[in-house]
Amino acid sequence: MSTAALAGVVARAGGPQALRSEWVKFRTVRSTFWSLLLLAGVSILFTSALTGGSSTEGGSPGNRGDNDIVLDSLAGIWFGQIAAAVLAVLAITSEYSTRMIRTTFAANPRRRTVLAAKAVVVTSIVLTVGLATSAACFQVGQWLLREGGFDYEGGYPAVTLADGEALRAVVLSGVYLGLLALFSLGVGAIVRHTAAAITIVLAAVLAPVIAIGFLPENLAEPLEKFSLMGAGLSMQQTFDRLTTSRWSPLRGWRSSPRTRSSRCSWPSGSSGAATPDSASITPAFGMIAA
Amino acid sequence: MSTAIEAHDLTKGYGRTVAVDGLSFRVEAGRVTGFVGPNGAGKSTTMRLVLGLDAPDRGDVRIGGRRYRDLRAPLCEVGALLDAGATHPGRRARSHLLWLARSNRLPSRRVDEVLELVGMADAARRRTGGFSLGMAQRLGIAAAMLGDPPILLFDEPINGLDPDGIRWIRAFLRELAAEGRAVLVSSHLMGELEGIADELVVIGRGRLIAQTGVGELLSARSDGRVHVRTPQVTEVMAALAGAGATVTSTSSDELVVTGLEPERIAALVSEHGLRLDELYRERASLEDAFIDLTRDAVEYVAERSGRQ
Repeated sequence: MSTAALAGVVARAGGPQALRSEWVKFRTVRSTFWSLLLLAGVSILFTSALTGGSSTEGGSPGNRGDNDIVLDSLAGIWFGQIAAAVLAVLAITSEYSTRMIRTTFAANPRRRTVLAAKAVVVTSIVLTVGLATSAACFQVGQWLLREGGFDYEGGYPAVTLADGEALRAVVLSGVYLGLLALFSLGVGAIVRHTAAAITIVLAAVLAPVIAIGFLPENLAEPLEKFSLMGAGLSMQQTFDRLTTSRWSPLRGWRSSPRTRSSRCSWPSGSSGAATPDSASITPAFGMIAA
Repeated sequence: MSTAIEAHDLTKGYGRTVAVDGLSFRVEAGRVTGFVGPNGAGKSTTMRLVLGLDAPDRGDVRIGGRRYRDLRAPLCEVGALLDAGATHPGRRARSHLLWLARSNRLPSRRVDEVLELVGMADAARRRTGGFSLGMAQRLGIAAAMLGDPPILLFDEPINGLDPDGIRWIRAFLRELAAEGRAVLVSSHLMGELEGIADELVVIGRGRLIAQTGVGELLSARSDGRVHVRTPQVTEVMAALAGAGATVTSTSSDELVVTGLEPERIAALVSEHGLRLDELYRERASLEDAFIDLTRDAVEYVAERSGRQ
């Protein structure tokens, strides 16, 4: 042009530019900060509430209790996840609701590149914060559980992130949050409407949890296997409390819906992990559903 | 003068309605081209087609000979203001421009330059949700100017501005064309474009009604009428009629003359020792010309009769 405003600048709208652009977009709206704070805050808060009130008795060093204290300490994630889903949905639907999407696609007409860049930015940030959150939940949860008697003396040897199983559960909980964000972004990109997208995501996450309680076994099992939260929960599990692999937190809630008070407490005189009575199988989900 | 935008047989329908129907036009560098038509004529749809935001059912549109999606850095080729309100209300003005700049690898200093350019430097840190329409328009123009593009599209940029804002944007658009850029400005009010546009693309119901220069359009319409105001109506009438002009009296002290140039009229009046209070050539308004042009556009007629 006649002006020399951009002399020496090699302008280009490609993948790296889309990434940097989406990063600026993501970090310059307030909802990003608040959603991430809610994700961490709500998760840790619920983990604290769920683990802080629990106690155990009757266990002994030689008689290992059957509560999955890793799973229990990560239960707060199931509440915090909603913030991650909403954040990811808004990252795309807010562009449609403000019609800013036109500016976005005029600046870079390669739409798949733009969407991929957005997915990378949103997923990686939620993954990072998700990992920190699940690690924090684990630490807080373990500490509170120890206070409640879930210690070596009570049949629960200390678990740390140095334990492979615990580390796996903590890392995969963060990964679950990242994947949930990716899924939510995808739903948002398809329906292009904030309320509709959030409804769909929450329904996809929560509906199976509710439905499983009402379905016959042959339908409940596959639903539980393939539902988002079912998959996520199986990542958090660190040991099988039954000899068969048929036990699951979802089913646990189903078989014993009134076990809230006995959660995390193992009746005295138990013969061990292999044969718990159903009332003691009280997963984090019981809390969610209740 | 080179062709910046060339639309050929553009056609786009949504469901049963045809928004743009076989539209062909050109936008030249160094000129302000007014894109005019009644509401619903297909102006915004056409703008979206130019920017590759919608795919035409038929025909195509080229930016400097290329398709929009083939542009390496679109912001440096075409700057567009489609919808001033289309910003995230919680994002600060500067951040809005920054993400746009990043998307085309433009330097951050350019963000501050365009904010300065539109007089928004003081509002850089404010969130766009609190902007008045005038400020939002300026921010939109700053965004369009980020890549210093040779082609600019503005969709209804004057709509809703206060008098100061209107004056500012008119001068700004003229300046852009003077710098050699191609400027396409849409409006549903022809009057808004008076004194801005060099060229007009007039559409109605998605079809091209006319592409014409503003000068030609106006001179074709005014038919060389000259208005004369004098206290000696009868004497002046006689003198001018004697020189072969057609004279009609419109009031007790005013005449409308055809067939004589103003210079000749002034000379004749003074030769006869008569008095002349006012003498001017009639200029057709762009608005009138527009109404004549669009009279046949069915939608427009329906709209008018609907109001009566």
